[in-house]
Amino acid sequence: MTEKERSFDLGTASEAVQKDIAGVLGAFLDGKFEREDIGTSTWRSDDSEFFAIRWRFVGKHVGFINGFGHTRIAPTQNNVSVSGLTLVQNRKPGQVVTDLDEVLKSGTLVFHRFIDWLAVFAQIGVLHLGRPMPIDDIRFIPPQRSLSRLPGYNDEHPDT
Amino acid sequence: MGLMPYHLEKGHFLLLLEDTLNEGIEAVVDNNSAITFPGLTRRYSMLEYMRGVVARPCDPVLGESEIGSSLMWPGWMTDADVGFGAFKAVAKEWFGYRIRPDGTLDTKPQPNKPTGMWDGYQGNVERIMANVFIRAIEVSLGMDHGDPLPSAAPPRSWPIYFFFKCQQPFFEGWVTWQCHSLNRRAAGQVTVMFATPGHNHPVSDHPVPIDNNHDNVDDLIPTLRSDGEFLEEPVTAYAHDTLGEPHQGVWVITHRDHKRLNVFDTSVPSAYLEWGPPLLPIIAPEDFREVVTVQPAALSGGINAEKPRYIAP
Repeated sequence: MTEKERSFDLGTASEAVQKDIAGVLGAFLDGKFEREDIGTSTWRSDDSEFFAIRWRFVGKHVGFINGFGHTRIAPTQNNVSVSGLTLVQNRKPGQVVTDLDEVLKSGTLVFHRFIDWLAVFAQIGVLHLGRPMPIDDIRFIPPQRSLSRLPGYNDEHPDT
Repeated sequence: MGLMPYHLEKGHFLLLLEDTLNEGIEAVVDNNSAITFPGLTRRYSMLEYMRGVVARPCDPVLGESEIGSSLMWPGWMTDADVGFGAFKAVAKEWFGYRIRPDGTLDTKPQPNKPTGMWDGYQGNVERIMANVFIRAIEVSLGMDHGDPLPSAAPPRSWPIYFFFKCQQPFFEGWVTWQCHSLNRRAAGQVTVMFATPGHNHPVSDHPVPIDNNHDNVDDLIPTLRSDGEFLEEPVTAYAHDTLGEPHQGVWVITHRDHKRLNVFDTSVPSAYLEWGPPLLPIIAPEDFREVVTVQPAALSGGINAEKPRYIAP
């Protein structure tokens, strides 16, 4: 293996996921990819290797979204946090990577994407009203409100 | 609240409220010089009472005061069963109040819970509705907002009609009016539309009962077919009810049944940059050619075949 060559591993899979997400979400979100560590998440099944990448893409909705819920959604400028899990299936285990883009074009990688689209729809505002609305108008209440909830109704009186 | 399988509803409670406020208005319609009618007396009473309701202080945490609640207006339907049923429904389901064992009201808003039956919504429904009643009565009588009660005949006496339209993002009351003639005091009408959030029952995809399971039961529209109240393809819009009283009606015209298209699994494995976009379903008719007209029964939010009656105290 030369200096530029590397084996396809969890780190390479993560880079592949980042490119896959940037190529699609990056078309309408001005944002940043973050991989969230879930430990060693690789396994072998039949003729393939699998790599599980948990990720989050946080950004601002700045571009038109085509075919998203059958509509063309104009930019809302809302801040959007997209979270998901992508399983990267390497159908050529042991392949050596010199140029990741070449591997991506080779068709040896398959992506299984599990994305919290419901939260994306809610943050953009297409679910509740059927039309975009500013993020300031959305009260998002995650299950662990003490950790991440935005200040809102009744927060000043938690015991009421 | 019943199942309410339609988007636009009237139902028994609003019909009774109309009867309370419109009773006897035919006298003014028939005779322009007629001044008073039973419904007018109740409008004055309700207007004064609701002005008191909105003038009460309201605490952002403790909510509305139980004392002077709009539910305590003495002119609400007074038949014991109907009155108590409506009282319970409005208090609990519309306003989000609790009724204590002794019958008193707990009006304090519930933290992080929807108001009453309104899914995903917190709001002061009582105060909105009290304002709606004030505005609707003022408009119906030709009074400017805040005017004192007229000592003589009001400038006009239009009937008031109510509907509510569900599955809106938040609660609103729309007061609309139409004048049919400036020369007659009762030639016009006020139509109030309450735009409400949805409640925990789905709107039916079909306006007519459809027996999908072949068990002779439709779970969403529990009415008998063409029973005189619910009608498929009604022909005559009768001006009177079964007892010969002037009446009203409502028909809905739409496709016979609907289905949801294009719900895809976005996790299907695919190649680099080949994403399956998340698609909200498209609602489409089962049969593109088929359009039906339906007269919903009161049980499903339509209008009683026989006019419900206000029962005097």
